[in-house]
Amino acid sequence: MKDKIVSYIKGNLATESVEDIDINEDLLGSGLVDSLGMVQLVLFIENEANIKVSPEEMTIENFTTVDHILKFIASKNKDQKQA
Amino acid sequence: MSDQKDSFLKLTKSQSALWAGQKMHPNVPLHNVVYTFEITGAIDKILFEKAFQRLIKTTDILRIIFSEEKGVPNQTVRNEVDFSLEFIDLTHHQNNTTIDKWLHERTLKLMDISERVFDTALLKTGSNNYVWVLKLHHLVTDAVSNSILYRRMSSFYTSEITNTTAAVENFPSFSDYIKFEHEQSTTSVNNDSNKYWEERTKNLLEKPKLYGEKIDNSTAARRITLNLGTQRSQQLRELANRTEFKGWTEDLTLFNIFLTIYFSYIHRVSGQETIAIGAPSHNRTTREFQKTAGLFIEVLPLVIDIENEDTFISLFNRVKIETNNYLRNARPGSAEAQTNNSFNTVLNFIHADFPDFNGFPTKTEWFHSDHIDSSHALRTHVYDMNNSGAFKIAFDINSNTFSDATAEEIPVHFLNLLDAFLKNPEQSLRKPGLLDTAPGDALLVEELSTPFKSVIQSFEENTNSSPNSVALQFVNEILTYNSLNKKANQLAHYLKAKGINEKSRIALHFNRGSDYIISVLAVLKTGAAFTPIASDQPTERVNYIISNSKSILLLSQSNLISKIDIPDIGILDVQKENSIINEQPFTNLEIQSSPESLSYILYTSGSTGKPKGVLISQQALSNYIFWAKEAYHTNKKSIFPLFTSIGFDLTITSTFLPLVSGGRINVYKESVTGPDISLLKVLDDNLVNCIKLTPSHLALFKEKKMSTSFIHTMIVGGEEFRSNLAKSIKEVFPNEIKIFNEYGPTEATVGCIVAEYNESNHTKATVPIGLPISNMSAYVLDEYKNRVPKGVVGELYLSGLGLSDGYANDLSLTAQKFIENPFISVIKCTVREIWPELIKTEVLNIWVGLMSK
Repeated sequence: MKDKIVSYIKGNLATESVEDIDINEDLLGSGLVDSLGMVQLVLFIENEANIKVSPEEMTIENFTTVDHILKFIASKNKDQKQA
Repeated sequence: MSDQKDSFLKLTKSQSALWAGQKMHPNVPLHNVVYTFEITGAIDKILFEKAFQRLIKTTDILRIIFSEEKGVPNQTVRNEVDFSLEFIDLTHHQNNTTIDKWLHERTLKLMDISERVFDTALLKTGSNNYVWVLKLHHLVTDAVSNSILYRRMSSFYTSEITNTTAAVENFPSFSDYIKFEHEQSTTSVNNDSNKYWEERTKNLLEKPKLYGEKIDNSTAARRITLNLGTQRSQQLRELANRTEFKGWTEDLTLFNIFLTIYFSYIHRVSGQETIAIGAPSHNRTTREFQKTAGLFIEVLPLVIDIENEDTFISLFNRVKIETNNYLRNARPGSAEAQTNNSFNTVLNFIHADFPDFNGFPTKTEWFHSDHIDSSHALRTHVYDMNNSGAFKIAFDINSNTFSDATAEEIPVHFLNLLDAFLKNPEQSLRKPGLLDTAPGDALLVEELSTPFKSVIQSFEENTNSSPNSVALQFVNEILTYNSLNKKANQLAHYLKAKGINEKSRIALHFNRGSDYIISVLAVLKTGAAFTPIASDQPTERVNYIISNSKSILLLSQSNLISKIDIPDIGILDVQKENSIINEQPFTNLEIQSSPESLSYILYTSGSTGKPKGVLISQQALSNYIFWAKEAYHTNKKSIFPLFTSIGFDLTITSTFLPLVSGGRINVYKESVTGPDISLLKVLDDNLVNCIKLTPSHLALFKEKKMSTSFIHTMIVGGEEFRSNLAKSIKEVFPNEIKIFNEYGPTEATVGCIVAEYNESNHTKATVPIGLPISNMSAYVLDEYKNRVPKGVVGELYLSGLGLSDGYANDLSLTAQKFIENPFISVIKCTVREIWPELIKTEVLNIWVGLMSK
């Protein structure tokens, strides 16, 4: 999943071309991804991870780095299994 | 090159919406997007022209033209476009107005888009000053697009100047986006989001009426620009970075903050709770699109329900979620007729900026073409195109919907909410005042022009000057001023002998007749206060009023008295005691009532529970009656009928106004059984020329022949007065009659706001209630006691000399209804004593906002 996300950001969203993206890089703070790009990323993740991201979950805490995104996906998967 | 073919393309959804708007208003410059770039530096016009030619070659939007076939619009990207630069040397016209005038005319000039979608010129305004004017049709551009064009032009010019070979000039084309948008709209990619937009907008019934104004379907608009300044803009940015606000990006958070203010603003000036606002989504979803010049934006709605307990921050939190929904569903091709029709206001948060041109300091200005989409009341743009750190807000205001005065208030009201949000986001969004004026400004204090005079003093003066004029006619009984005064004096002497004084309260239970008028005058002559109780009142209510008003004496007549059974009260049958009363002296009592003493207590029916007694002072009564004498021009010739219930507030006018004017009262006794048809008798007799009545009474006039009527003055009060009724009444009378619409709760003494009906001005459904009378002030306030802007619904509050002293025997209701006047603190002390309180009225909303001349 990590590679998919990184390559999607690199290929489609990054406002400038980048070599690689560290999982702890601040995607928003660095200006690498803008808010509409973030929405694209949400839609991409929904598709890839087969989860549904509610508008309440579209927060800085869940999406600020690739690492945060992966943790968020993991917690969603756990929720879905429990449910 | 020449072997390449022009390409034909359909319009995108966004383009179609603009096209439709232009079709409705073909002759106005709705979509001229005009920028000027004031460049400080020497520009070579030849090289500038070359750079622009390169811009045309590399940027397909500059080669687009539009045509229409069988009603279907098409766009064609031409392969080549000839261009030569228009250069104007204005160096010797160093007059800014010349340039401004030229720019304004150029901004408004319609473009023939079947030939060209742009218009550009280079103005030389000084040896080192140039203005590049760039005008494009909105069909091919938006703000980001203009920024792209500008940067590209700047780099081309630099490359011409430095003679460097052109870099790869293969820029992404708008045509690619157009094709992409068509694919998106025709495949199922957008299904979910289309469903979202349909759901979001399907139950929106009403669009907000800002300042109560229904939108005028015309395009004329006025732009007022507000500069927020660096300090305030910095505060906004700091707020946006606070944890409780912070979103994905600063721009997104700022957008949500401005949206919250905008929703609050629209709620406050329209009263509407469910509000849709249109906001352009920039739609540049890929890296390629971010570099593409063209029209990408689509205006899509955000819908919010304002809740009663909303603070700025609680609304912000819902706006944040609504924006997230908006963002995830804003796809190219989402805007449909239904979404476009869901809003009448737009908030445009513009992300574009324009750096230096070829290294020269440059100032960017965005010009308004004096027209906006006719379905929009207000379009608001937030931007910082010069990257100055200070936001500007441009308000494009529909000129035919809002008056100039209202238009100028719009930025003020918006800014006051913005500042309140900055100051305390946790306060209710209804709390801050919208108006800018200092609170005291509202109250225009009139100094008392005449000293206090009681109605009795005035009546006695009229008796002295015209003793033999007729004061009262009741069936066959005619009383001159002299005889009426004598009878009143005799009864007053009798009452005085019984111990009645200024502190006494006396109930009067009578049929309409001369005895009632004599009793009223007699009670006032002793300095006491009267409480009128009509003959038709049920015994229980009569008993209640007598005891509740703390009356020590009941004056009545034989036929009514038998039903009264209250042990602790003196009862006087004026008819039975006639012989004793007739032995009393005729002379005036010479008792001077003080302005503060009570004149009467009037019981209003009160929609809930028990009737409540309103305490009216001598001063309040005099203030109304002597104002009315001036305003209605009553004099010796005035004859009023007394035909309405003596327990009604409006009857006070017919009781006192003729007697202080030297005129006459014609008293009509009520029917003992069945409905009171006195009005019909009044009309048949045709003995009066002035009349005080309710709109319901007026309905009877329509069935009567009024061609010989002497009535020239009508004072209408007590109910909502419909304009069509007023109009039809004017038509029934052969002569010009004056109709006054008088408004006022019993608590403010009969009438305290009045308008003279004017057929040509009063075209709305209801005749306005008008403006406050002398020594009275009216305020329309919201729940936080802020004055509301003109046109916004609020509650009417009254203050002034005519205000009641409160409710008889009910301190808690008095405390609830009579409040501290928040506007009084700046008024000097003498006035503070006179205007101690405001009363909250129970006026229907329908009347509020109708206060005008």
